[in-house]
Amino acid sequence: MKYIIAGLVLIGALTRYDSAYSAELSGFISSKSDFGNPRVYGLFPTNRVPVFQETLELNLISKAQVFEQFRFYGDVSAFGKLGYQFLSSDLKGQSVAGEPEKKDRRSVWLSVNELFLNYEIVPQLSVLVGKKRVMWGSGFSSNPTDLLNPPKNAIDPAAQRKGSWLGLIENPHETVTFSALGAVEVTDNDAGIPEKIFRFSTANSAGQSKHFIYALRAYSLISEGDLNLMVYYSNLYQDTFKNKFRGGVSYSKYATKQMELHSEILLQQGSSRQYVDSKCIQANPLVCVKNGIPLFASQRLESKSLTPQLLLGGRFDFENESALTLEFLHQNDGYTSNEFEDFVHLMSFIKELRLQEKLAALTIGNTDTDVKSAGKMLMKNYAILNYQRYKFKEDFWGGFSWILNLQDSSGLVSPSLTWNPEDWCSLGVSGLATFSMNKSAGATRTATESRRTTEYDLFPSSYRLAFDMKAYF
Amino acid sequence: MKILNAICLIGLVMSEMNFNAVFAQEMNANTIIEKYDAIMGPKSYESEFKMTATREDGTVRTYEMKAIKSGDEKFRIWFKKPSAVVGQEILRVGDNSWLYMPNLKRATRIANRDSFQGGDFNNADVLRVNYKADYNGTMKTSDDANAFHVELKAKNNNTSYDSIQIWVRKADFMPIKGEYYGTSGKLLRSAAFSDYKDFGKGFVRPSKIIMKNEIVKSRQSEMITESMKTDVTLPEQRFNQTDLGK
Repeated sequence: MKYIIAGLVLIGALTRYDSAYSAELSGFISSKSDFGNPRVYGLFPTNRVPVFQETLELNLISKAQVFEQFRFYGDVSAFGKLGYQFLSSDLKGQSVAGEPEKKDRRSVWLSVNELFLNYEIVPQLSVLVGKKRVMWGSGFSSNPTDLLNPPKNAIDPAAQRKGSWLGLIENPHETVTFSALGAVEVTDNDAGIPEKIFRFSTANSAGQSKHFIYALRAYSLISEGDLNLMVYYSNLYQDTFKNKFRGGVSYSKYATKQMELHSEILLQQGSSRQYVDSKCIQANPLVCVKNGIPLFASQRLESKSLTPQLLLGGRFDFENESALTLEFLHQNDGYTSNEFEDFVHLMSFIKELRLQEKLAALTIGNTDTDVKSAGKMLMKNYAILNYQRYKFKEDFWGGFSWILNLQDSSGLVSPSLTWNPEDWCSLGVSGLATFSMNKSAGATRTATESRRTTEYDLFPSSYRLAFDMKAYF
Repeated sequence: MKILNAICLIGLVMSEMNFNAVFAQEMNANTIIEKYDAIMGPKSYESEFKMTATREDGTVRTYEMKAIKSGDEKFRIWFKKPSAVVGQEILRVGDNSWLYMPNLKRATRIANRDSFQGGDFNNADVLRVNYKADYNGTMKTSDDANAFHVELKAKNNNTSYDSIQIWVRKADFMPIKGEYYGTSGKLLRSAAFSDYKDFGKGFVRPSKIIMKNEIVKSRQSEMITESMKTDVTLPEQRFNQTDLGK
């Protein structure tokens, strides 16, 4: 960590060297105070979700160029986080003090967002090595074709800056650009510094497994629009697919002076998504567990059926320079209402075992309890609306995001307001709240219970409110 | 002798008047637009410039940028100051423009008519100076004897203005002022060009443009060109979307 920061500072110090060498150092320091309402009566454990949280970030971005061909870029953040007051529920369903892990109360870590060297061997051939966020799809809020980067996180926008460790060869021409990429997964790290990449041994797999993805991409500006064609081949890279081919297409263009349209589709056979064993959960799940039948597993991993992921969207630019983006996301492998009900029953079953402290002794399968806090979308169809109002008053920026599950009418709303009193600093307020518009939609927690749970009822907090300050340098 | 001098002087004045008349006739609007484009948007260049936006409340914001241009269709900008926008980049290829945001690590398409960094220039004013391609010109009677007045009408609805009036000096075609109108015929912006400067090898152009907002009168933006090299060979790959953020 210290070597990386020292290197970035050194490059910044050389900024004034001219001619063949140029460099710049920038960044920011920020403080984010966060208050939330953990959903202690929900199905996911909240003992690690703080009511109050303070996050400090020091971000350094360094950029250097030697001659025209050799470029370095580094974007590294050091984080410090303090969490206060953790809540959980007891056997009677009463709110009690939670028992978080030590790192939930206090932690310091380094996040290497991007760190790469780019060398142009000839104008039509460049090689990039390091960590970079490579995004080829044109979706705004969601990118089905993005198999390379860490998934987006609704609660942590900083996660959108993180890339993947990769090697990238690009071959740009006047009308088309070809890209070839190979990325490895960091399977273990210490405070953000990769310790193990490419291989690791999981509890479920004997021996070492390779975690990688290769990708080919062709990009062209066709009919005044961006066209991307992508092919991926991966093995256990951010999912459980082994030796898997997938293909993607994206296109975006301004259809009129004010209307931008975009689409993105990922084509794949089968799915790595995990599903609940319906028969087991509806009969006697404990019997299945005792017989070694996983309750929650990637059942369609080897399926030959086509399971496309599709995003269609448009952005309308208003005269006052505000922009409204509306997108529709279809995940063919997303849960049906019945599958979601099975999922809710499983989570309810696990919660019951957890409260009775019997969970540790059982093997359920990977239940991925952070599934909602990581912002993953579980079901098939979503509408996503985003409105941004630039400078509705001098130095004030406003935004509003709205995600709606079209199957159970639950969703998430997230307004934000930013003020730039000076050009080197900003103050912001943002919020996040879940909602369910149809009380009769969703799933019951058990076969005998009438209360219904929608997808966004699974979110670990019913609302969160954050205040942040940022100073740029 | 005095009579001879007077005759010569009259002759000179007459011949200059005659020359100006012929010159004005031969000087059609398209030629003036070409000259304007050559001065304000030379084929290829590398430049550093600064924009200071004065806002409604009297406060100012200053942006510093580096820009490169290749041919009529390709343009790229790197923002250098203030620190909050360092790392942002803009690329234009033809009618397409993208903004790279370092906090999102991605480029998104932007509209040409949007304001440039919230100032009074719009993106097309800065990213696309190619009036010959975008507008049809008509000579108008100039109220300034030393200037040509040309009216430009948009060829299609992709331009950011419906019409533009420009005045250029007869002597060297340096732009003096401009007026920019919306589809309703309303005056949106007016520009004053000044501080004509030799940027090297005899390439002269105004180094200062003040763009006044005619809708909100208290707003204006000043664009200062600090350097401009026109004899540069620019790598074509800098005008490729894949180069953004590197």
